[in-house]
This record gives sequence, structure tokens and C-alpha cells, in this order.
Amino acid sequence: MTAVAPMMPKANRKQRDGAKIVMAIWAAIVLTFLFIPILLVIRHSFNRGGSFIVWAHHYSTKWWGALFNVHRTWNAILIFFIVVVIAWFIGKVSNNKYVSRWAIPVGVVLAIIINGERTNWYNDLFNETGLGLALRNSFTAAIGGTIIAVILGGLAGVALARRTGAWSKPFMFVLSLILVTPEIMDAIALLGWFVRVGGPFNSPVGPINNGILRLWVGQSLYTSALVTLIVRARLAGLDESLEEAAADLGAPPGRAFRQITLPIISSALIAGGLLSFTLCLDNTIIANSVSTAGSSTFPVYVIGTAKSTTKPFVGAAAVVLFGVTVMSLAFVYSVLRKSGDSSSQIASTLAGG
Amino acid sequence: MATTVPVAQTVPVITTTTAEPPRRMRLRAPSFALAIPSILWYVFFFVLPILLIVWYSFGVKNTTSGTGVPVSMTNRTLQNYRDAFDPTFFKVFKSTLKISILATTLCFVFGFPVAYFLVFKVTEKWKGIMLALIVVPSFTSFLIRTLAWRIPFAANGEFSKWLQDVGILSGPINVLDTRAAVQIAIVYNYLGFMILPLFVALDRIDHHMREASKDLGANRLRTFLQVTMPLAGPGIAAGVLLTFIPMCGDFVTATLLGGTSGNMIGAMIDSQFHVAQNWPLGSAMAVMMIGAVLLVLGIGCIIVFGVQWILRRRRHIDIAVAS
Repeated sequence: MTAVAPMMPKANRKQRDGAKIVMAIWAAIVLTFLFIPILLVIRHSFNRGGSFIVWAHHYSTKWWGALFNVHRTWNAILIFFIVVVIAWFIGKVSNNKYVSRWAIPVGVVLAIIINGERTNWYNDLFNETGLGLALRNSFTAAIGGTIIAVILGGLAGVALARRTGAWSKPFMFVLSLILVTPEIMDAIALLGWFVRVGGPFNSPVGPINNGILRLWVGQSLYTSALVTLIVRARLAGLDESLEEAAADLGAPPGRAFRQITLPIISSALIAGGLLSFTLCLDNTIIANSVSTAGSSTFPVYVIGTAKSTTKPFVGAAAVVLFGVTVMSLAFVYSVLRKSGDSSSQIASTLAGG
Repeated sequence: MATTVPVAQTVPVITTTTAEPPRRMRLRAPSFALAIPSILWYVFFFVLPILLIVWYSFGVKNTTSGTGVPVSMTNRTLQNYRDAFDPTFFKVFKSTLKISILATTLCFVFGFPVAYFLVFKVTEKWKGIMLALIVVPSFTSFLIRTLAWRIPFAANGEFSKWLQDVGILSGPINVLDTRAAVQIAIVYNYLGFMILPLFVALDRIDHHMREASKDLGANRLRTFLQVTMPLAGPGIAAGVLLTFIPMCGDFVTATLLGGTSGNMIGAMIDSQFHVAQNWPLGSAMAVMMIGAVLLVLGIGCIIVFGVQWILRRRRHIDIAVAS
């Protein structure tokens, strides 16, 4: 009996390509659409005219010059470049696993620090009246909020992944509520609460400015929920054998946590922390509601000037923040990649697990 | 001849009365121990503040109160809720819901093909790059991206001049400070947040299911409608939730681009708190906003489940039992 070879339907083949091409074109359109405003902001930060909005058809680094001194900026960029290249080279050449893995990130941090020491470039930016204070507050608030978020989120994530119980469902419910509640609701609730509770939220306690404390608390809510989900997703995929082995070998729970669990979730903590930092820098609604007079952040400053004309050097500052964001996202990506995540898993991490 | 003489070995049996050491009660930490800081934090800074807002919604505006909180709770009233139904406010409510529902639908319609394309039609190498291209704009500053829309929308900007030159418009573009501007910008802002969960949902589908469907003879459209979409259902629901609800509370887009005619609930509530100092009214509006969101979601659920139920009845297969 001769077997009849199955015929591949030709019509099907052509159809497949057509649909794929249409979808590819659509995807390209959507991606371009996503980037247009960002590119516009970058272009307009070089606007020669007086307004941020109206393009004067000429490029100028006038506004960058208002924020950064030209000579210092070039020196800064040069030094940054040199240090990072040296770090990269060391990473490539070295045989030590830790050195080659961490060379570039450490190099970047070192470059920023050395830059700061040698050129004082950030002075111009951070001393600008109004804007400078707002930027400094933004970073302070973001760092504090991130630290709180990582600590709370890391612990809760481990608890959710490893020690589920009757409490897990209500806790997940509250977490979901936090992630889903419109930010304006959080903002007004916290405003009322801070004023009502008073205490450290109404007057400075020691070195901690009450305004910054409010921002730390407000920004930590959403971000800690996010970190919790990320850590939980990371741990849930691994079984408990390592921790059990540690217990069998006699490690008390605290030590097992420090030496076994923490390293496992370290990449999730770093990724979550950077994501939190990025979100905190941009936090607008809560910051706008709860911040006091001396502790406004950059987004609050921008919204404040939005009713009148927007000062153009806002564009330059915005591009700097874009750069910080992109660097954090790149770092998140590389950290997650190094722990073996595929792109799909990274996407699910970013979407909240 | 070997004789084995069993040697009875008498093992001296020592009987001692050794008391067992008293069992120490080991305190085992409860299972939620690690989550206690989070639980306390959330209760103190999320649950209680929101309950406070609900409480305030029954109060009365009192700017002379000495506690710094301009609310007097001595005469509790439902007046705030009645005020919230006032035509000026209610118009903004309806407008917000309309904008959000339309924007969510548009985000889904625009974003789903992109997510589908990314999951099923793109090689692994390109997936990472394209995902990055979607994630980066979505996670950079929401505020700046919204502000950037003022550039194309500017009445005397280049885009407006170009439209007039080409002949599409007869006068300068007049979309800033209108609902249309808010609509467009909201779709833009939340598009990435719709694509990502859709991507995750579609990615998690077991490709064997789709292969099986094709093997059983379903054409591509049928596979899509009856296998892919239902399997991606929960993810689609998540994407819709993650975009619709924040849209309803959106404040930035309305403030920067909407002006008075493009106002949304979020901005209105904020102005009650900061400008009008009418906290009780703002609280009542916030509670109503949540209520409206839940209502719309409930209606959506009913529609979805209703459609599913109808489809299931239509495709009902009776497997006769062989007697």
C-alpha cells in the first residue's frame, strides 16, 4: 500500500504571511506612537525659543546650559565614559566571577561619584531655585520610599510564598486593592490621615523632615505591594528544598533566611527596588496631595507650573530623569536576565507577576 | 569436635529512674510573622485612612476647626452625597466614565494585536527588544509624557500648521483643553499597561492546546475564538482592570490637558480637597467614584458571563449514553 504524501495547502501559507505582515505593520505603528512624545520632549529640550511647547525651528543647547555649565558637563561626560570603559575592561579581563559580573554596574556608580567629586556638575542642577530643591526632594523621597518598599515587600513576599495560611487570602486581597485603587483615593486618604494623626507628619522629628516622611510613606504603599508580588512570584517557582536542607544542617531560621533565602530573592529585590525607584521618582498624585511647602518633588513642581507656561529647562531636567529611568530599567533587565529569566518572565514580573 | 558452649552473658541491667527533662514549649512564630510589618503598615496607612475618608464623607465642611482638618463631624449628614449628584458634578462623573470606557476599549483594540503579534509571531530574539520598546515608554515619567502632548496639541504649533497647510483643518487646531485631548492622551498613557498583561496572558497559554485545536480541524479563526481567547480570558480581565480603574481616578491627564471641559473625577476630587477645602464633599465624591467603578465592572462581568452562558448553551453537546 502506497502512502499518499499529505499536501501542504498553499493557500494557507500565503494567508499566514499576510496576517503576520499586517500585524507587524500595526505593531510598528503602535511602537512609534508610544515613542513620539518622548522624542518630542528630547527634541524640545534643545529648543532655541523661549517656550517649551512651540518649536522655534532651531536647535540650541541654551536650556541645557541653564541647567549645566558647558565645560563641566563635557568634563563630566568624558570622565564618566573613561571610568565605565575601564570598568568594562577589567570585567572582561578578570577571571573572578564576581568582578566580571558586577564590574560595569560598580563602574557606573563609581563614575558618577568620581564625576561628582571632580566636576561638581550636579551642583548646577540641584542648586537651581525651585527646580533644584524639587529634584533633590524627588531623589530623597524616592530612595526612602524604595528602601521601605524593599524591606516590607521582601519580607511579605517570602511569607506569602513560603508560609501560606488562613491569612494569605485577606492579605492578597488587600494587596490587590492597593494596586488597583486609583491613586487619587490614596492621596486624599493619606492627606486626611496625616493631618489627623499629626505627630511626625506635622512637625519635623529630629533630622527627618515631616514632608519627606509623608512622601516616604505615601510612595511606599504601591511600591511595596509591587515588590511583594515580584518576590512572591520569584520564590513560588522554586521549591523549599534549599531552605529545608539548611534547617536539616542545623541553621536556625534567622540564619537560614539570611544566608539562603535572601540570596535567592536578591535579584527579585534588586529588580523590585529599581522598579520602585523609577515609580517613586514619577509619583505625582500622592506627592501633590501630601507634600508640604518645602518638600515638593519634581512632578509637583511641574504640575505647579503647568497652569502657567512651562519653563523650558523643565525639558532638560525631564530628559535627565528619562535617562535615570532608562538606566534603571536596563539594570532591572540585566539583573533578571542574569538570573535566567526569559523575556516573557521579565514581562510577567513587570506586569505584577 | 568443637563444642560451642553458649556463654550466658549476664548484662547487668541498671535501672535508674531518670526524670525526663521538662519539655520546653518552643514558641513557633505564626506563619504570617514575616508579613507582620507589611500588615501593620497597610492597615495603618491604607485601610484606616480610607475608612477615615468614608467617615468624613458624612461630615460637614468646617474651615474654622482648630485641628487642621476642615471637617466637622458633629452633625452627620447625607447632604454631601446629594451634592455630588448636582448636575455640574454629575456631568463630570458621566464624562469620566465615558472617557474611561472608550479609552479602555480603544487600548484593548489597539493593544491586543500587538500582544498577539509579540507572543505568536515573533522570534525569541526580537521578543526581548520589542518588549523593551514597549516597557521603556510605559514606565518613564507619566507626567512628562502627558505634558509632551501639549506640543502637538498647541494651537500655534507645527502640527497645527501642518494640518492647516495640508488642508485637513481650516483653522488652528483646537483640541487642547477639551475632552478629545484627554481622550487621546489617556489612550496613549495606558496603552502600555494594557499590552503587558495581555502579553503575559497570551504567553502563558499552552501552545499544545492551539496545536490540538488545529489538529482537530479548526481553522485559524475558530482556534482563535474558541481556544486562544477563552484561555487568555483571566489575563484579559486583569489588563482591563489594570487600565480601567486607574483611568477613572486619573488626575494628571485631566489637569494638564483637559481644562474645564475635559475635567475628570480625579481632578475634581483633588480640587475639592485643595482649592475648595470642602473635604466632606470630596470624600463623598471619592466614595461615589469607587462605587461607580465597581458598578461598571459589575455590569461588565454580567455581560461577559451572560455571553459565555449563551454561547455555552448554543454549543451544548448531548452525549447519549449507550444503553
